[in-house]
Amino acid sequence: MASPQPLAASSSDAALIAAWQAGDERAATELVRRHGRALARFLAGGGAREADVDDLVQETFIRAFRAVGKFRGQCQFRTWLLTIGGNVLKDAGRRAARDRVVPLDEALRDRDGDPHEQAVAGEAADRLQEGLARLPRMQREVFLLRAQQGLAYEEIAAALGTSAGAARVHYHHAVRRLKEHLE
Amino acid sequence: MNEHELLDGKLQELARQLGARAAERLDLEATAAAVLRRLRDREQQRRLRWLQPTWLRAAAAVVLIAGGVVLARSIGPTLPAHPAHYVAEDLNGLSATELRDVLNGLDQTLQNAPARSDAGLDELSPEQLKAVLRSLEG
Repeated sequence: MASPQPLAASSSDAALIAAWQAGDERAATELVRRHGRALARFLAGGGAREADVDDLVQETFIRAFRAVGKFRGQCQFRTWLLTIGGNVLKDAGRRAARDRVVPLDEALRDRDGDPHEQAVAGEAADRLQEGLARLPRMQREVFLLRAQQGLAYEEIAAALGTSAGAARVHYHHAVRRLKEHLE
Repeated sequence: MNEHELLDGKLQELARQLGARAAERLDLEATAAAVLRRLRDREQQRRLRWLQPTWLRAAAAVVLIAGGVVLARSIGPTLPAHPAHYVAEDLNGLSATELRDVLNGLDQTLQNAPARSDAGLDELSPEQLKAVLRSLEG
């Protein structure tokens, strides 16, 4: 069932979601174009291996599109999508730990790609990644949503089902621990 | 201690760069196509999983109903066909002369037969019976 209205890149997320719910696959494609890279950054920042990022992005969008009827607009679609990504990442970490193909800590340190690029990425980025992996999940997600994605505390709180004050506390704890790790 | 004091420029910059390379490598068009394909596959699998037990339930219901009908027919009372139906069919093939012969024979039978209080036609007089048979004659 195709929407009679043409889909434009300027359509709002809400309009695209409604079009997708009406069966328009072009709306889903546009949502992936719009939010795919931010999601990939969030997943990689949360500890996903680069080789797994594409699959995790796909799985996150699949879960989101199938559950989009539950999205009530309490936060932005992207924020909601990122929280689903956090759950997908957690499940992937559990599977990796259970299957013992690659231990989780090792997976977090494992980096694909050009050695030169890795060197450019720098030791500091690696240490930040290590520090993030050691944070409790809530602190890690709040830090990424705030520092990486630039979201407001109110938005983060709505997505994670907590208060803005609690989100702020999680963020401050995360920053303190990360700075200690970097020093 | 405010946020700006906690988060120095270095940490903020590092956080923004996290996952940048993975994001750049992501082929958005291919990812979108893969997402749609996997959604279709999962929907198809879901329908198959739903259809299988549905068809099994439907088939089982048909078998039960058909078995019940067969059973009911085999043990149920068989209703005899009304004898008048066969008599009428037999009389249809007779000529007027032959019918008159049948009626005359019936007259004699009725006159010779003893009266039976429990007979089905005992309330009718011979004339009434003759009228019934003549009506069958058409």
